[in-house]
Amino acid sequence: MKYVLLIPAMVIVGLFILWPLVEMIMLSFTKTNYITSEWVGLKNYERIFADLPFLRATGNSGIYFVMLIMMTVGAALTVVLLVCDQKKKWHDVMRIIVYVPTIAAGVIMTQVWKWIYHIEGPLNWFIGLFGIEPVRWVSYKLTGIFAVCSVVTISGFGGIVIILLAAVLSIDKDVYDAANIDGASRFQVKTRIILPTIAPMIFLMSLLAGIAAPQIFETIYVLAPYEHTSTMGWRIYLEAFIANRHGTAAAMSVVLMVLISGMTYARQRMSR
Amino acid sequence: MLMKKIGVFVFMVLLAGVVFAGSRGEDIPQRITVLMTPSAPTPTGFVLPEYTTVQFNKDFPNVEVVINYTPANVITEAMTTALAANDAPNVYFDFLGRVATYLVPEYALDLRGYVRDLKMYYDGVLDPFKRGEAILGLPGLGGAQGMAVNMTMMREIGFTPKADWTTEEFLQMCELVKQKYSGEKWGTGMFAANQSGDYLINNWFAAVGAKYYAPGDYSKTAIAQTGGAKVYELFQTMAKRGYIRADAAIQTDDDYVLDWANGKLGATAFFVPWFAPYFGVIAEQGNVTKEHLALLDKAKEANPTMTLTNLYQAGKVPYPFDIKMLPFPRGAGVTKVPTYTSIAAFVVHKTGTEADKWGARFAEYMNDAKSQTEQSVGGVFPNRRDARLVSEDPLIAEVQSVLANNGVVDQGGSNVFFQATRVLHYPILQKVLDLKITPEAAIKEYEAALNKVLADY
Repeated sequence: MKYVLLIPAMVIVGLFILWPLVEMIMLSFTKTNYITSEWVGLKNYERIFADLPFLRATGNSGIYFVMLIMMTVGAALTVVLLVCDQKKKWHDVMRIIVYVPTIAAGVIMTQVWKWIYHIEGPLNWFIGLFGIEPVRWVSYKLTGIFAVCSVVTISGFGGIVIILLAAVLSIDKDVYDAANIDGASRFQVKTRIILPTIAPMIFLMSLLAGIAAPQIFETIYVLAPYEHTSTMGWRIYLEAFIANRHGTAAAMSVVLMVLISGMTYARQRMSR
Repeated sequence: MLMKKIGVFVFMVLLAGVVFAGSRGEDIPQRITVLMTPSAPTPTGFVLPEYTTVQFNKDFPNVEVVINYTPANVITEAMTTALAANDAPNVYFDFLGRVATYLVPEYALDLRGYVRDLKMYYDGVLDPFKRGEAILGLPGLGGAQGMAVNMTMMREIGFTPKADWTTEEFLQMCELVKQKYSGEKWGTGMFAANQSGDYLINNWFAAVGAKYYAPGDYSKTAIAQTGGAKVYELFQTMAKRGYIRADAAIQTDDDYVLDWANGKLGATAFFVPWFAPYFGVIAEQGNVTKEHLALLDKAKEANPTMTLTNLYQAGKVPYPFDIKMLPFPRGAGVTKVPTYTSIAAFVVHKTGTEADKWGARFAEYMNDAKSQTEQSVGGVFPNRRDARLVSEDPLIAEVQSVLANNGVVDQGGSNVFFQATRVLHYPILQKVLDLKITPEAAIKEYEAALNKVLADY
């Protein structure tokens, strides 16, 4: 009977997850514009591994992976450690402040940041006060990726703050009491007790942030539609919907899926 | 407990039944779908989809017409999604460059024997739609772009542009704009955020004498051999001297047209029918004089739905600044600069059912003599013997003159590969405008990218 009860769930998973997945893999072996299709074997894979824009997007995705983890988790952790020993009302205030950008429309948020990073925008005005020449923020690889990451961070780190703060608040009060009796300073409490205790959660948040990195799309679309800032997700969109090469786009998607699956597997192995 | 499990199971089965219930046994509705960009009324109040549907339903009163209006910048995505879902529209009406992807026998209906007035089209205008003997689509109305010069600004800077102006003179104009407005306005507009609107920029290749293809040969590009690097030199000169926006590389065509409509650009490539809508947009954003608003209020007393776009189109309110349409400036040794023409096109999806006849008839009415004549008020040119150009706009006459004296630029727009080639330029153009690549390296990169795609077709 217990297996029979699994049938509805298996049907839904099969129809909406496994079937599209198999279709995507099959598509990656064809040359198609959805009007005509031709089986090309591994040619799409040969093509994408010789395709410089895709290879650049893959390399960029690695940079995004590292930068996004550092920025989102770093920012979230800083906020959490600053407010965790404050009164409850400050926790609530901080939760609201950091979560507002998350519920705002991403495209509009990015449009605002486009203005901030403009060559004549407020950021360049600000650095100009210190005698620094205006920077074309999104026109260069590292500053461009930094600009994209900063928008993604502002838009998304609120959720991480809430989760990490909950993890900190769930630590048994007796542990703090014991630390106080032993004469631990507030700094020591944070670095020797809180951080090690919530380390598994920090690790999980880091991987979730990292996994999202190769799939960043709307921020690039609005803020920095450059090859030097492109992610694998952006490249797949261009290949499928602009260049109309759905077979190679599917092959790119399979590569992305394998990379993300690898990261997820690594997370599971490391968290054991 | 067992009963609870059984209850949950039955509930899930029922839920699945509701979700996946089909319409088996129900009558299949008689319906055709049309995919097109949003259609605004002409100054005389003619609305193309409404007119076509009325005509169509006289012949087929029991066939429902479903029109899916989709903005131009995402219509390719909509078409791709529809194809992937095996739900292609019966009629797709759009810019030829995008429609050309579907002008293949596997997709398109051969309109011979379906469309009754094929003989009314001018000689040769159906040629781009022919594959062998088959006619796989219809040409809609066409427009031509010219260099739209802000004459109010020209008077302010003391520059008189001529019909045979050179690129050197164009740069002089840009310098005068820079001196007069010191970074608030620019000589011209550039953009490279994506491929949308690329024809506005790509026409500059013709200004330096470069050609995308040797006549009739679409197997490889001629862009590098015919001096394409010179256009990148020109762009980089403009970028270095501050004649264009500093962030031109990440500007979109929407940014460009609004800059122009806001009077911030000296001269840029533009289509006359775009003037009124974009002046309407900036008026809605608050950039409008009190006099124009007073005229709008007065017009609204007679017709509350009236907008400034309507009034601009009808010529009842003057444009915010004076305009003159000229050819692109000529580079050294160039005697004529052909201009880019944008043609609308129809393709009817071949289904092997009765819907083929309906789709073809809908396309026929959409492009008939009355439709073309009515739409030509907005400044687009008919291509049928039984239609006439009724526009009295002097700017249209100026564009016609540009076209007659300089000819048409060929970017391979009616070929199936065209859409795939469009995506190649803007990443290179971004590097050019940001001064991160030499003109020679850029044109070699563009040539290689074009030839790689052409080899696929």
